[in-house]
Amino acid sequence: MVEAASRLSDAWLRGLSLLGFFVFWQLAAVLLAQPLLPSPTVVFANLWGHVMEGELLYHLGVTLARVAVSFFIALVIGTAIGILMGRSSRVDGALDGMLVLGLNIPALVTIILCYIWFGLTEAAAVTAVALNKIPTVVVTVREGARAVDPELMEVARIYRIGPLRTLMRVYLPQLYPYLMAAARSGLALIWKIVLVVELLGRSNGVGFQIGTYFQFFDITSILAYTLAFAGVILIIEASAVRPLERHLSRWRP
Amino acid sequence: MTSLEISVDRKVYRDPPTVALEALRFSVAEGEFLSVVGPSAAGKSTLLNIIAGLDRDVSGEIRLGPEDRQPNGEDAARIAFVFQSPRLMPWLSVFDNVRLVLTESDEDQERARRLLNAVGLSEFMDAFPSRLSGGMQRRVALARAFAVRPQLLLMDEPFVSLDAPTAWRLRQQLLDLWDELKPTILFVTHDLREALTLSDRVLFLSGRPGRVVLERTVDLPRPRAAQDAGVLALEERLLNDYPQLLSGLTEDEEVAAATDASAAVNDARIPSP
Repeated sequence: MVEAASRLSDAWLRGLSLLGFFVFWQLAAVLLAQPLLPSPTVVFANLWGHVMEGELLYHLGVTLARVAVSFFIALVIGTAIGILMGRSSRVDGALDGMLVLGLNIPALVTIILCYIWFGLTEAAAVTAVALNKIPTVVVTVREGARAVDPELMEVARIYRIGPLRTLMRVYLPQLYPYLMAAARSGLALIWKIVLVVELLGRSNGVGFQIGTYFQFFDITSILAYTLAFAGVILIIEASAVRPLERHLSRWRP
Repeated sequence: MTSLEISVDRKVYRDPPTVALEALRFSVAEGEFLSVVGPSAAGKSTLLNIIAGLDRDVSGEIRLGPEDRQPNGEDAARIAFVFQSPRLMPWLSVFDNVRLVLTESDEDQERARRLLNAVGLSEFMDAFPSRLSGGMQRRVALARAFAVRPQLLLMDEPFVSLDAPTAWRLRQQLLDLWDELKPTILFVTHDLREALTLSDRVLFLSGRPGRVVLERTVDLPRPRAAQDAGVLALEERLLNDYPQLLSGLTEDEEVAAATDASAAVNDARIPSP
């Protein structure tokens, strides 16, 4: 009961702060009366128009698919490398330089190089996004792998728990908080990079659309697309990420 | 059910360089309850880790069972280990913690349920360990250990830092389970009375490097209680004869103990009350 109540008031708080943001925006737009800052009501009307024409949902879907695929690839590869580096100081020493390099190469460079080397293809786009995200996943998961409790791993050895079961029930649960952190920051980072990738070398997706509207200086449509995508991310966060996190940490006192 | 032959020539820790165990030899009979008593830092936990195969960096030999089987090989004996802390998986329910070491077969599920019943936790099957008291967590660890039908059960001060009544309830549950399944038990403790109450035989280790300085068969009838006159008399006699016993005998006493060995065993046959 108490838990449910606090969750409810939590939801209210989130809703209120969003509402406050839109009220502030509306006031600023009315007071400034500038064509460069359309009010949220105008943006929402525009958004509705794009939805009715159907093209917004199409581009949104395309972008979401790219986000999902590159998110998945980055998480799997980054987790594997992070675990290896966290477990063995030799692997860590061998790959650490690469990791620092990977963390510091600008996203734009990776994207351009991928397009030049692999052509303006879907695979190049997804690869570029994943390459940008992998190093940050590695850093987070490596932290987790270093914090794995050797005493619990000994229990798995003594009782001869099979490798798969040890991974799923003993090892990975210790990494879940780190994986969740990586997933959360990943979602935020990846969709930003996907938009750049689309702007530079794809002919569909939210990034491509925003690029087009930029050429027409159509600020209202740019904001409409941004809002639509931000809304989708908020919904994913609230309906998938947070419940998953609650489920995975339900054992905590 | 299996016998155990220990022969550790030397176990050295490198950093800082210390000899933890040296010339430590003893054997445990099939189904025997053997306690190892010694001062802290006598290498008792090290010894258990070596036997369990968690620590392989040792010169010596551990032989399990009648055949020449290597620990942790394909045909290795089933070993269970109850650690000083319960070492439960906090993200698994009580039931799942026991099932973790078993197969998914109906028989094994039933076995997990029965063992949790036996240690009085049937109402807490779905609880997470963080909701349980320290004593209850140790009962789960005990159920988990017996779940694998161990041939050898290693116990490293499993009942420390529990209040006395809880600890004695747990010891009783341990003896009940031992009675039913008769695994060979190697029980490490620094509590002499606990050792005398539970075991068939008690080994006393010296301080670092640990080796056996005295061995005593506890020939008292079972069931025993910690307050039994026999247990108390034996404890008193041991402490009288060897005041330094629990801090690991000095060299002189050790020699005396060795020459006294046969007498010591006879001493142990105190008439029961």
